[in-house]
Amino acid sequence: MKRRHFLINISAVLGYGALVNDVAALDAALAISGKPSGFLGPDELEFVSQVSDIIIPQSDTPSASQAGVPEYIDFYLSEYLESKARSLFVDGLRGLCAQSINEFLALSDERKTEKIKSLDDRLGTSEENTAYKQLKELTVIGYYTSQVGATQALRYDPVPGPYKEIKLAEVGRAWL
Amino acid sequence: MSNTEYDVIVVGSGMSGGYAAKEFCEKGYKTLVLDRGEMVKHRQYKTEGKAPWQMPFRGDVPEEFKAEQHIQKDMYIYNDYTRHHLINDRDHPYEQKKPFIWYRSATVGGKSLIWGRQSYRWSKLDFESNKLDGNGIDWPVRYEDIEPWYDRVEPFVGISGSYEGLDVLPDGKFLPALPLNVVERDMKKKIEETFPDRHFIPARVAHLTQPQKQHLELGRVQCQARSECPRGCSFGAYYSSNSAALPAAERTGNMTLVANAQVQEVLYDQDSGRASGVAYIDMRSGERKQVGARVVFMCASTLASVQILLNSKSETFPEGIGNRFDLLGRYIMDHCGGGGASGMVPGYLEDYYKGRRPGGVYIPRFRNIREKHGAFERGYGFQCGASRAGWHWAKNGKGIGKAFKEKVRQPGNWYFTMWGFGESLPRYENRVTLHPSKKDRWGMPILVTDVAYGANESAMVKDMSDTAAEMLQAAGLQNIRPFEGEAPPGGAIHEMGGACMGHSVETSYLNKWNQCHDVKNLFVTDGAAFSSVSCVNPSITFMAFTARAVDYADQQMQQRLL
Ligand SMILES: Cc1cc2nc3c(=O)[nH]c(=O)nc-3n(C[C@H](O)[C@H](O)[C@H](O)COP(=O)(O)OP(=O)(O)OC[C@H]3O[C@@H](n4cnc5c(N)ncnc54)[C@H](O)[C@@H]3O)c2cc1C
Ligand code: SF4
Repeated sequence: MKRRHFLINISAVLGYGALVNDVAALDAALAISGKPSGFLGPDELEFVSQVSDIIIPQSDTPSASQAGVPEYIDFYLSEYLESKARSLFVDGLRGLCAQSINEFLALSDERKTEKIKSLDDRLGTSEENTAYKQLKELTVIGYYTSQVGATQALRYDPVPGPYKEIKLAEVGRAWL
Repeated sequence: MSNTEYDVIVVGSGMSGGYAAKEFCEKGYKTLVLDRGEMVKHRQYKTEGKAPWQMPFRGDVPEEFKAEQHIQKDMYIYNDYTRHHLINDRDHPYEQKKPFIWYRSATVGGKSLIWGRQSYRWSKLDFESNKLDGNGIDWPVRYEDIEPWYDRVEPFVGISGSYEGLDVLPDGKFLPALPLNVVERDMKKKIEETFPDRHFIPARVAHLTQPQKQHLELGRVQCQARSECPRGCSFGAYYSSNSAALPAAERTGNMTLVANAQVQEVLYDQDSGRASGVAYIDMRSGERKQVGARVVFMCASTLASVQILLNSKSETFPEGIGNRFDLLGRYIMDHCGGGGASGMVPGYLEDYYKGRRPGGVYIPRFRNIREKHGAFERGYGFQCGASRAGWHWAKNGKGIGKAFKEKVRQPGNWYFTMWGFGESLPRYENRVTLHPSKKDRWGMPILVTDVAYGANESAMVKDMSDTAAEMLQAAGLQNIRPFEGEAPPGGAIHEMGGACMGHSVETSYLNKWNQCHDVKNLFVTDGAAFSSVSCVNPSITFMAFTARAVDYADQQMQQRLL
């Protein structure tokens, strides 16, 4: 289901003003969230998956792709972004490393990491690559707000109980 | 009146209306509450408890929805978890002659469901300032008049706070304060030593830190420090109409609450010289209805109440009910803000906390109390807090691989931020009017805002950021960044005025009982009634005035004077 679809559906439920349908929109979106919407082709999905794993690899906790980041990005592209912003981003991804996606995928792991590192080093400078910047942002958000990222890499506590001071050692890491 | 159907009609069910409903119902009056918003029942909060991974866009809002909420989208709480509590700006247009941000709720319970819960009493000085410096009109009420009503409202609301004995910020009836954290405790010492006239105290917030019998009876329990409050809280741990006042009113059996009811005018009866009831539109069916009552309480929020009153036209009052002297809609105010500073606190890296504390630090007004300071009248307070940076830096930060992941996993440095809220001056020329021809989809003439800040507010905001930076310096912070955001009026979401209280009908719309000078059974008890704005958050004071006005109306009704 495409985003425009569910937005229209909810407007129909509402009868007037789309806001109240918000709930229906949410439910509709929840039902599809996390499943690949098939917007990115297999090569593109593989590419996003590999790049996000270079940014957030497997360690004592799962990697970005293991946490469902590529599916989140795919969903975000198809359901969230407006078509113009979406094509800009996808075009940017294709040209990310001044080579085609397939050429990138054929590189050795070390070469791939070097390429991503050099893009990453340029973040915040005048030579920053917009598509990479966006991909990194989505990777970080996608990972740390995923169930895996929030509960394994970070600490998530839905009902922390009354506020209290503790030592960092007691929890060992940042809250979500 | 023979065709009176209710004892009382309350327009609006938010901070003021909810409280009015509770008080009238508990006194035994058959009360009709009409609210334009969608029904939101306590404990039926759609996004409460949803983890980010259960949200389709992890909390982000697609452009389509933002386009329908082009004003609301800039509110700091606006996201996918809260947006359904905010109004659709396309359906509810208004016109800005000068920039004015009108933030509005979309639900029963009004903004009480989404507010920031900061709750401070006004001081003696606040009620005297208009008289002292000659801006605006003199309040017909002093602190002593309202004090007993704070005493009545606060225990029901449930406000946590510390006892400080300050003239400028009177103590109330508090539950235990939320704690200052280790960084804040040390900063308190340094700041209070360097600036003996400034106090660094725990924020006073409407959260139950130690629920009392009357809270528990309503099913309200202790705050769990989730800080997801604007989604709605089934614990009832912060005060909202939905969790407290409306259930209290409902259990009396005296309340009739109608949602999706847009009140368009207060009806005036020429013969008796009284309000006979209100006319409203059922927003679902488009049907126009009229209901009668002995007394009408306007609690639709500052600008909405004024809009309805302006639209209540009759032969006697062609410019709006009770508006003989062109005062209705004038003296519109909001807090001026946007000045402040933030900085990094070195050290304390072993110290952390559990829970998302729903309140921080408050620094009460210290300007222009005894000595005149600078190029402005009146003063401002700071809302502040210290906390550690979380993973969010990583969105735009550098780094890849395992080392990056390790770093993101650890909390960052401590940061402290302070935001000023200032008292802007009441000005006759700052006003709202009805558009001569444009109407909303339900046929209500839209509002036109013509409100601007002046030199006093600019000077105050400048002083806020200079002073904030100076204090952070004294507390030993690093990378101090002062800011001076120029938010237009409305941006502080504390709009007041428009139907001001005063001594006479020639200078004000309401008397000292929130009663329309010219229409005795018509009361306005939300922020519209306010003749000045203090610099502290206003909502608890709206409730105190509401409780006082209900008490007065009750006495008058008992004596058959109303
Ligand atoms: C994000 C945010 C943070 C805030 N933080 C604080 C804070 O920390 N401390 C503080 O004191 N204040 C705070 N406020 C402000 C506070 O919420 C308002 O001052 C308060 O809610 C106003 O009370 P009210 O009864 O006048 O209006 P509301 O609470 O807005 O209630 C008005 C009600 O009237 C209804 N209504 C409007 N028009 C009509 C009509 N034509 N017919 C029928 N019904 C109508 C509305 O639907 C609404 O339910 C905050 C507000 C927001 C949005
Ligand atoms: S912080 Fe307290 S009031 Fe807010 S949502 Fe959590 S429990 Fe409820």
